[in-house]
Amino acid sequence: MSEASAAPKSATARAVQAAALIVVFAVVFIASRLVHQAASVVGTIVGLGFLLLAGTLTSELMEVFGLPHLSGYLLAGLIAGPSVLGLIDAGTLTRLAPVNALALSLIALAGGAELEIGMLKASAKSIAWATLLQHTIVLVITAVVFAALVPFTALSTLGTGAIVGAALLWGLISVTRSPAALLGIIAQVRPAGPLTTFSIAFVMLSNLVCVLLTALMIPLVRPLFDSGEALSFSDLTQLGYDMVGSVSVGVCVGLALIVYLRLIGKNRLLMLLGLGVGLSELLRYIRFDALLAFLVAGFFVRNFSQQGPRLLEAVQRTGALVFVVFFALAGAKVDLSLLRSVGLVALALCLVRFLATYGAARLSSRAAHDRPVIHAWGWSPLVSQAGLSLGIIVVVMRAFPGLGAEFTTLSIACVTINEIVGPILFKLGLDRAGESGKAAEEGSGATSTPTPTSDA
Amino acid sequence: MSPFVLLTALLALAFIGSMLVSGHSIRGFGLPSGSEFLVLGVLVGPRFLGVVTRESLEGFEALTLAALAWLTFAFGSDYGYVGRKRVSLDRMLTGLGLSALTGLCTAGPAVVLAFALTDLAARDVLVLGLGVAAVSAETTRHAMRWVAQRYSADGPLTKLLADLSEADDALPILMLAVVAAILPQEAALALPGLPWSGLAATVGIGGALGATCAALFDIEPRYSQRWGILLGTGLLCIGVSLRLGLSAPSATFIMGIVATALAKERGALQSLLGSTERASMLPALVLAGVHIVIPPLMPFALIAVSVLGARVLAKLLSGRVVSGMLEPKTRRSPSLGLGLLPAGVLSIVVGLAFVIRFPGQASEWILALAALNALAGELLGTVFLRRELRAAGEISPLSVAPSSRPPPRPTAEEERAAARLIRTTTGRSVSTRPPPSLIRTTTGRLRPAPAKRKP
Repeated sequence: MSEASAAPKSATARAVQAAALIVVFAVVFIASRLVHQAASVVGTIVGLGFLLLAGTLTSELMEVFGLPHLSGYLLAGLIAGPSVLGLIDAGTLTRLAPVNALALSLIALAGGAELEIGMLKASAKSIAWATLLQHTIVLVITAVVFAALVPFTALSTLGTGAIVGAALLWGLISVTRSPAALLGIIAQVRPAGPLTTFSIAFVMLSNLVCVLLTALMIPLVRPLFDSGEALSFSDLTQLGYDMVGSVSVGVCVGLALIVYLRLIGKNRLLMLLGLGVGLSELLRYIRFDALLAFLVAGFFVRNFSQQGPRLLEAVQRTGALVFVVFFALAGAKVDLSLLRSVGLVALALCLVRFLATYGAARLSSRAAHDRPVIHAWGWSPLVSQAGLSLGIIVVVMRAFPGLGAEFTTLSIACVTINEIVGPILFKLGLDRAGESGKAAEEGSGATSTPTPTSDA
Repeated sequence: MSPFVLLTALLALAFIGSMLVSGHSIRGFGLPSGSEFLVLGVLVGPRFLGVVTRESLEGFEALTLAALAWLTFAFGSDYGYVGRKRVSLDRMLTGLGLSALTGLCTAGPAVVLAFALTDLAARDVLVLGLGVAAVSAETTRHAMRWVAQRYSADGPLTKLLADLSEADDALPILMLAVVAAILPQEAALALPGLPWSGLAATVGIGGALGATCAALFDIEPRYSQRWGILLGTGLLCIGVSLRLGLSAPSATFIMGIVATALAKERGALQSLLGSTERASMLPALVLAGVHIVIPPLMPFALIAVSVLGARVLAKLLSGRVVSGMLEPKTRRSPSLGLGLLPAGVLSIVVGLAFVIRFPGQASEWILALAALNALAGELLGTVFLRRELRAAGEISPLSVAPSSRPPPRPTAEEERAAARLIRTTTGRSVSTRPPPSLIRTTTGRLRPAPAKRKP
């Protein structure tokens, strides 16, 4: 995520950026054509540097067209990825996976630190209605339409029970949102206002709801796939243990962060890198939910100490580098041939999801008597999908391997479309709501522009 | 030790390194060559405690080279500058010439003895000769900074030595490029017209990405974006050089020089890269220590003694040249050259690059010699350097190493001297006006201001 745009750049500056982008692409293109078989770690280093630079430059050039930086990162990754130029190979994408873990931990930490109890209380009614309606209406509508569209897909060979199960799982994937895209756009445009507050609070809470829904849905759906399987909630018990453990770890990490920020406060970039890499790995090993733990840690620091703004500033700085790579990697993973193969059905399903989300947002804001700005644009942050959605697809496929590659292909194609379109819509919403750039003007804590310190 | 734990440990070291550089503690602790971290590496390495084994280092070679290359990127961005002041061309050329002289003097006996006493192949002897020259050439600028900071040294000799030690950094790093071009790896791209094409490619990649870095840096005022530009161009330069089988440390060094030369916002660029220097230095030193293999006594001892002896002679000769550059009124002694003995991070980094690039006995000896140079420089060099500067009257006779007792508050004269020193070494102006919490006594010393009475 990049800092808020400074003064508009001149045409010369844009020309320099375009020329630099060409140089970067040319250098990597020539190197990759001259030496085809790159050593593993070397390929990763090239990939990392290239994605960072090309992502940053493309995002800058996207500003000219009023598009969000995230779209630039995605586009750079897409062009460099195996689908188009092949400058970044599939092996490199796999080896750069730790960047995803680091980015997700930082996203969760920032997400938690954006949640202020006072803010939650103030918009409790809106959030409650939105949570209820978004997670029921969208789930049901998308599930029904999916079931109706199954005959036009390779999933038509499934039995009736399995189709119902698959449809419910589709509904589950459809209600997931992208906290990463949300925070990415917020970091770029520095908004402030009711739409921003609502978006942060809802998407972060939705994150939690989706994790719970996944754990609930899997045992519920299992008998539909296998008639011999009884309804078992042992997964829920396990989930309970995991959640309590994750929350406990999150509180401990939050406490440690408070102590660190208060007593030492320096080298926050390195500290966050170490924490993100080390703790994610540890939590994965003990099978706790890293996303939840980091979310709780951020929430704890924000609401039980004075260190929230410092933590946010540090995360934004570290994230500025990590998120470029994260989204560029996401772009590189886009499989264009896959999109072509299921394009029409995927588009139809995305459209239905969008309409359901839009309708549910209008209904919930009417029920909660929201301000006009939320009534008009409250749907805009809810379209994006990214890492969390892909994570839930992996969990679903692990639990139901019988769904086959077709389901995975279709769901990844839909997430890809929403990943590209969602950030553009959210930026549009913030611009139209008049909230873009407000935080930078006010210099408010949560999204204030960091000033250079010894943090580097 | 698993690679993950090793990586975390290296991150922790980087953290400690950046803590040291960001605080005032650097002045009171540590050795100028960083030998303590080298020794730490030897201790935790396979030879002693075995915490880090050879197996756990496998797969880390490219990553280690990348870290070394980042360090040389930082060196390159600072090359030719003492603080914010540019070193004059004649001093740059003299520094380079003296380091070349030392390199030649040390490589000669190493090659002769290797041919006479060992059964190393001709290629390995060539590696040994070039490597010994590369790790013996420099006088570490860190020693100069360390003495200047710790003993408040200032004067023409201090400045001359600082300039020369700054200038001689280029030779060892550029020698890596030469070696990579002369002796390409088997898996590397077979460039037509080697070694010149290899050298040209190294310079071309470093130059092109350095210019790109400078152009982007100047038009981008945002802090995070600037970091993205530096990291992106740096990693790209490292990765592409390694992929083509070129010397990544040399390419990034050139990139640093070009970026600094072309950037209008040179100070900001140097400051950002400088903040990473110590953070990458400590892990590099520890990794170098881990890679050190203590060679069998003979014939290594003979080669080591001859190389160290040749280095002392070469530096004594260099001392004569330095004496000739000083104004006649400046006091100097015949042993001035011994003050040029300190070697440090750069030599060790170059030695480690040799070990990774050309695994084998010759490279192991090069790294061991780099460590010995650092230790000898630590034991003799800093002592003589201090003595020469004191003899030249550039260290106050009252100036002693910091003790455990808190130092007395400075007088106005001392503060002005410190401000002058900071101005000459960093180019920054410092106010000597006391802060509101302090008042100046009649003797010129500062003491806390009396608390204001509450109304």
